[in-house]
Amino acid sequence: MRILLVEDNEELAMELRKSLVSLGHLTSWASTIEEARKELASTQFEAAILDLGLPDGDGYELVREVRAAKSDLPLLILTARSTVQDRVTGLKSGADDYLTKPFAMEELVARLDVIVRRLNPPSEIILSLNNVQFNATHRQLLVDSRTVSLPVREMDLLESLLRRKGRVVPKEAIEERLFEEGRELGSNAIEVYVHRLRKHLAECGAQIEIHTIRGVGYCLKEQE
Amino acid sequence: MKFRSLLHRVILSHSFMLALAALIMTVALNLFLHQVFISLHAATLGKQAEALALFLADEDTTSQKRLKISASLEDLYSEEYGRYFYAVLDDKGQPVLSSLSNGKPIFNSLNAYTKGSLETSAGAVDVEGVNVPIERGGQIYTIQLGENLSHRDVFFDDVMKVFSVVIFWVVIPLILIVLGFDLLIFREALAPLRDASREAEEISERNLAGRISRQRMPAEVVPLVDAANRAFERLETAYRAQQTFSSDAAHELRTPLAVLRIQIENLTDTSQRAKLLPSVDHMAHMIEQLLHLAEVETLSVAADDVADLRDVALSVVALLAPLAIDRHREIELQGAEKSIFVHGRRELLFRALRNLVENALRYAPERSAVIIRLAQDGTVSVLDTGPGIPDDHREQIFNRFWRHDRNKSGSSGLGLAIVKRIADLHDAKIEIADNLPHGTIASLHLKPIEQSSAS
Repeated sequence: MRILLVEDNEELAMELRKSLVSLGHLTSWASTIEEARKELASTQFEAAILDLGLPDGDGYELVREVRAAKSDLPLLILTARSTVQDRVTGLKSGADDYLTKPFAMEELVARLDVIVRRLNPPSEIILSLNNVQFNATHRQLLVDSRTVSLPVREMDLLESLLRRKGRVVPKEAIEERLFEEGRELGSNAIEVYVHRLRKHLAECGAQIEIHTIRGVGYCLKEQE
Repeated sequence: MKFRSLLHRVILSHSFMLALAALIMTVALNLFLHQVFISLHAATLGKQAEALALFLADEDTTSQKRLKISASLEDLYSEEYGRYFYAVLDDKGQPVLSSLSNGKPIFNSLNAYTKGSLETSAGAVDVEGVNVPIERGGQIYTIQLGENLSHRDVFFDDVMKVFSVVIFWVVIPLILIVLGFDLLIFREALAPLRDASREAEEISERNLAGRISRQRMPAEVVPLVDAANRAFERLETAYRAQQTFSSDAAHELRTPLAVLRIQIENLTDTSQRAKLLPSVDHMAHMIEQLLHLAEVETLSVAADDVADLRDVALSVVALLAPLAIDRHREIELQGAEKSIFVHGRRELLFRALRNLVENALRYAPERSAVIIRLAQDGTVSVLDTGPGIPDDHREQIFNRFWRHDRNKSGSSGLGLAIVKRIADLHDAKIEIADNLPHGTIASLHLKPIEQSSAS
C-alpha cells in the first residue's frame, strides 16, 4: 500500500522507509507539516504515519486537518511522548492508533495492518498461526494445508483463541461465544472443551499450544 | 527583653501605659482636689473667724482694752470638743486671747492659711486654719482659727478617701476593659496571619501551585506575604524545571533510540541482531520507567477517584501473561470473582501492579507461577517462588536504581521506586513478606470502598 511518513528525524525516516519498502509498501517521506500537506493534496495514500514534534508545528494539527476534510485516512501517531495524558489526547484527536518510540518494526506493521483493515474489511477472514490456518468466513480449518474437521464448539473455541492469538482471552469471552446467554453452565464446562480441543490439535499435528492463565482465561501461542 | 508573641508585647506595654496613666491621673486629681479643699477650708474658716470677731466684746478695764469671747461660743471652741481652736494676737504677735488653756497661739506662722500642732488637755492635735487680721478700736489684731481635720465631725477628708476608692473602682475596670478590647482587636487582626500559616503549611511538592492569600491581610504584612509568594514562585519554577528535565531528557533519548532500534532490525546479520536488540530494549525500558517515575511525581489522587482492582489485575494479566509464557512462566489470578472497588486511580494502580508482577517474573524460577491475589479488603498481593528478599534489603528495594543483582538484565532499578511512589499517592502501605517455602509476597494495602457508594 501507499504510505505517507511524516517524520523530521531524517535517519529514522530513512530506516523506516527502508523497512516499509522492503515489506512492499510505497512510502513517501515528508519532514514538515507543510510538505505533508502537499503530499496529501497530490497523492492518494492508504495510511499515514505521523510524528508529533515537527519543526513547523504539532502533528495533531495535521490529524485535525485530515479529519476536518472528512477523510478517513488511517493515521498512526508515532511519538516520543508517553504520559497517560498524551495517550488520551492522541486518541481523542482523531488518530487511529498511537505508538511510542522506540518501537519494534513488527509492532508498527501489525498496528498499521489493523487500522487499514478496519477501513477495508477483507472479503475472507483468514486466521493463521504457525501451521494452522482457519478460514473464518467458510469455517474451514487447515493444518499443514490438510483439512481437519472439528466439532462445532471446539471450532468456535479455536476461532475465539485464534482471533486473539498471543493475547489473553478471558474465560467469560469464551463462554459468551460458545453458549447462548442465560444457559446454566457447569463450573468446568470451558475446561472440558479446552481439554478436548487440545487433544484434537495434538492428534492432527497442529504446532500451536493453548496456555491456561489460571483465574483469567487462555492464551494461544505457537508451539516452541 | 524578648517577647514570645506580638500579642504579649502589646498587652504588656499597653497594661504598663494604662497603669502609668491611672497613677498620674490619680495623683493629679488628688492634688487638684486638695487645692480645692484648701481654698474651701480657708474660705469657710475665714467666714467663721469674721463671725468670731463679731462675738469679741471689748471689756474696758483700766487702761487696757480687753477682748472677751461671748460665752455662747465657748463650747464650740472648748478643748473638750477638740474641733475648733482660736487665738487672738495683738500687733506684736502676742496672744491676747486663746481657747487653749495654756493661752498659747494656735499657729506660729502668720500666713493666711497654715498648719500647726497643738498641746491640749485631750492630747496633741494637728490643726489647719487661717490667720485673719481685724481692726478693733484702732488696734490691729490677728484672729487665728484652726480646725482639727481628723476630728470625727469633719467630713472633708472623708470625701477625699471616698473619692480615692471611687477612682480605684473606676480606673481598674476601665483598664481591664481596654485590655480586653486589645485582646479582641489583636485576635481579629492576627486571624489572617493564622490563615496564612495554614495556607503555607499546605504548600508541598504535591501542591506547588498554592500561595498565601493577601485578602484581609493587614497592610503592614502584605509586603511580607508578597515576598513569600514570590519565593514560592521561584521554588515552583525551579522544581518544575528540575522535574521536567528528566522527563525532557528521557523524551529526547527516545528518537535516537528508535533510530538505533530500526537500524539494528535492518541488519542482515541475524546473530548480531539477536544480540543487540535486547540491549536496546533494556535501554528503552529504562527510559520508559524514568518517564513513568517523572510522571507519577507530578500526579495526585483525588479523594473521589475509584478503581476496580479486579479490572486492574485483569489488564495487568492480559499485558504480561503472554510475555510470561514466552519466558516459560505463568501468571495466575486469584480472588477476581467479583469487582473490588478501591480508592485510587486506575492507570496508576495498573502501573504499580504491573511493576510488581514484572519484578516477580524476573526472579521467579522457570515453570513456576507468579500469583496475583486480590482480597475484598483492598489488598493486592503478588506471590513468587523466587529466592526471596533478605530482611535487610526490604527497605532498599524501593530506592531508585537499587538492584540486588546489578547484572540481572531487564531491570531498570526504577520499577519498585515507582510502586512506592504510587503507594504513597494512595496512602497505601506496601508490605514485603516471605512466601513459604521460599519466595516473596509483595502486598499493596489499598482502601476499599463500599460497592453501593462506588456505583
